[in-house]
Amino acid sequence: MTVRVVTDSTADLPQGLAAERRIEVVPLTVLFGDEQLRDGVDITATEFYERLPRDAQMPTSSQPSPAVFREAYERLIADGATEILSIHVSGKLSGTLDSARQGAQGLDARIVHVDSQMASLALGIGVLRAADAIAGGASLDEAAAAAEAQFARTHVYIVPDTLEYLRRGGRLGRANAMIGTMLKVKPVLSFVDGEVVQLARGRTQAKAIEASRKLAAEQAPFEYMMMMHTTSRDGIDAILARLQSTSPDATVVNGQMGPAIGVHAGPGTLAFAVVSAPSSDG
Amino acid sequence: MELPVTLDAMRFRHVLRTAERWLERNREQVNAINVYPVPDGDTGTNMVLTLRAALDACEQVEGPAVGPYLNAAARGALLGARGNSGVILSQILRGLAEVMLDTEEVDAALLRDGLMAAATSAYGAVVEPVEGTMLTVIREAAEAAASTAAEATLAEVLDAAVAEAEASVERTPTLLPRLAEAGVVDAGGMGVAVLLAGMRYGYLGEEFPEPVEVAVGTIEMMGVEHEGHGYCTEFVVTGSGLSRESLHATIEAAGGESLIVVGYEDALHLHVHMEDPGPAISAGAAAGDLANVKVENMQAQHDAWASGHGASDGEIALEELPSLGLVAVSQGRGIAAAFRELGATQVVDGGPTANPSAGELLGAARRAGRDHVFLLPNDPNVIMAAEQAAAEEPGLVTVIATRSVAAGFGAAMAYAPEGEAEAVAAEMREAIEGVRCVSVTRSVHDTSADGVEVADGDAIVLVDGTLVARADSLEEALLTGLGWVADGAELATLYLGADAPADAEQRVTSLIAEAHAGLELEVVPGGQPHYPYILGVE
Repeated sequence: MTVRVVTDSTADLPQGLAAERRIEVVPLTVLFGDEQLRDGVDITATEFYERLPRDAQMPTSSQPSPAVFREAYERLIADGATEILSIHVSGKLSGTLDSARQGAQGLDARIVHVDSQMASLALGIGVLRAADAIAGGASLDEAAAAAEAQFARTHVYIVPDTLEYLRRGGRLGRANAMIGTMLKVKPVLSFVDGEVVQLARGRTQAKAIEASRKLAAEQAPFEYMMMMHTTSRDGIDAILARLQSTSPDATVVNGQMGPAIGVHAGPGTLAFAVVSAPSSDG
Repeated sequence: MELPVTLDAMRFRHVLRTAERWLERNREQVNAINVYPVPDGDTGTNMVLTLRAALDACEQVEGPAVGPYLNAAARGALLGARGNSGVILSQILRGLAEVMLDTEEVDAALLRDGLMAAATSAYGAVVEPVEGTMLTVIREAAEAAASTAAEATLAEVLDAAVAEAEASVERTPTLLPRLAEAGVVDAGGMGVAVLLAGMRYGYLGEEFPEPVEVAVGTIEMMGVEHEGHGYCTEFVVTGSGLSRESLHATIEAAGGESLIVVGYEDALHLHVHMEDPGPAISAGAAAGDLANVKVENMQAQHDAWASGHGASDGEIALEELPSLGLVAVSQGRGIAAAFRELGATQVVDGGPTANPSAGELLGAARRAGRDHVFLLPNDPNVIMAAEQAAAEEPGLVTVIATRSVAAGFGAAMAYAPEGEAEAVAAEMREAIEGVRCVSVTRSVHDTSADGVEVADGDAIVLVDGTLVARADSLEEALLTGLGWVADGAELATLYLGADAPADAEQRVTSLIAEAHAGLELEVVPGGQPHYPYILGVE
């Protein structure tokens, strides 16, 4: 039995980490007009955020085609995989999971898909957990269950500098209803059931960050803390320091949101996610 | 068969009749996607009935000239207009008619001008045009028609208008978030595109294809706001020397929403959504003779629509109303709009000279239709009435004792419609702490208050409701007040009053930037009476 793990580029896993654990990362595509760039392959995060304010066109993202997934799965099967665990960005935010399912049809391996209901490192750390479980001898089903249990304990807090990008991409979902245009409002967004929702709001980014930190503290103690940004890390370390005081033993992962996420998050966005430690009674 | 180069009355009638038939065939599809401004599912029906009223009105017109024919159609549409979309449609016809008033036959150039005038007239019907609606669609279609070559034929002008109208409809969700949330295009916009397509079929003599398909199965009611509901009221006033503006102002002041008043000096058509239709009808009767009065309960309409869909399609789930509501007392249109955007279910008109009674506040809290309602008095003089209202029904109302508009916004920022009432109330109370309010006005008599000597006409400034200083100018007063509270502040929000000086924004912005370099300033047209400047500082 050889089990391999597949995810997509919205997981924002550093290349080294993914390669080390033999995780196959299927890239989404970022489009500037007609120009198609594979996320993390043809364009890096640094290149993307440099280009974002200078390019007259608003970029968009598009899911990998079923054919791209098929190729990836076939490559792994040719390489000896008999089972594949494919874990992806929330199906409510992207059609990536649908593409992955279609690409898997008729292939000569058992392929199981998991909807993380997450994105960026909140997805990535779950993928790592699954890969580590498999490396430790777990079966595909055990690894999938471990990842899903972790996603259920993951709490995401996103403080965008501007909502322009989420709104244009149609990813604001239900959170839109409570965000007005008369007064500038900085919301704290999260994923609930895979959708973007608003947890709190403040008039300034500082207030929104403080509100998000308070909400996160209610979930302590943590196993992991994932600190994410698009263009600037300013402010991230201050949040981290406050969170660490509640959970000094938690593993900290820092990362930049990549192009496919950045298309929707926009510049200046800070986000963090915490994975609550499993409760002792269960 | 060769197409006619121009349209006379008979041909134009055929074109509009065909449009009406095509609209009729697509009526249910248009109804099905109706979520804006109120999801009551009648936009298609309203547009068909309005167009029919227009066509019926011009049956009596004789002669081949298109001008009188269209003029009668526009008047017929006005008198028979149904709903918001019908009223705007009547204005589209009016724009067309005005350009063609003295016209025998319409050629391509005149149709181009007519469509432009139709768009302008449609925009003129509403005080605050919203993009992503039928307004956008008619305008973009008219612009596309206008950009056809000078020698373009009627067919080419219609082709351009129809193609752009259809493209414009597809873009409506990008302009109007509410549509994107519901996963639909704008119903009225689609109605306009269908109407233009119908005109084109009529002109070309083409068979109708299958009706337009809409993805009704994917409509989700989640997140679709249906503010307040109440009653949709419509009527026609006839008389002489009727003033659109004054009827509009009267009914708006009485709390009318989605208000449209259009028409001529001798006939006005009014459409409004109000909690209580009484004041609108009284205002109409005072202006002239009423006709075609129609009052509909929108909540009942909406419920019927939603349950009809729920029964036919399991995918459509009407989300339950949240358990918590928010009622804010406010002065000024901009401030009221901002409270609504932050989620206020009801906004009660109030302020220093129009303090609402406990009964009014309780009524608003009941109308919110929620299990529990937070009440923001936003003025020291309203707190007592608010507390009386809460004492009447303690299970329903919790007062968050905000003493200023700025504090009210602070509290509203922490409001969440879902959650546990006590916890949300605690969050809201905490949120008030960091917000200070500077209010600037002019004294109306010589006085001494809070230890400050004030002469009639002096600029005076209050911090959190307490008089702190007088000054020679409003701006100086504002800066003095800001000086009291600026320590450690990050953000100041300036609400410009109804009688703020015209260049206030520019002047105050540079004054504050000079005196308080690190302070971020946001300027909002508050529209409040009595106080030219209210400054929230946090």
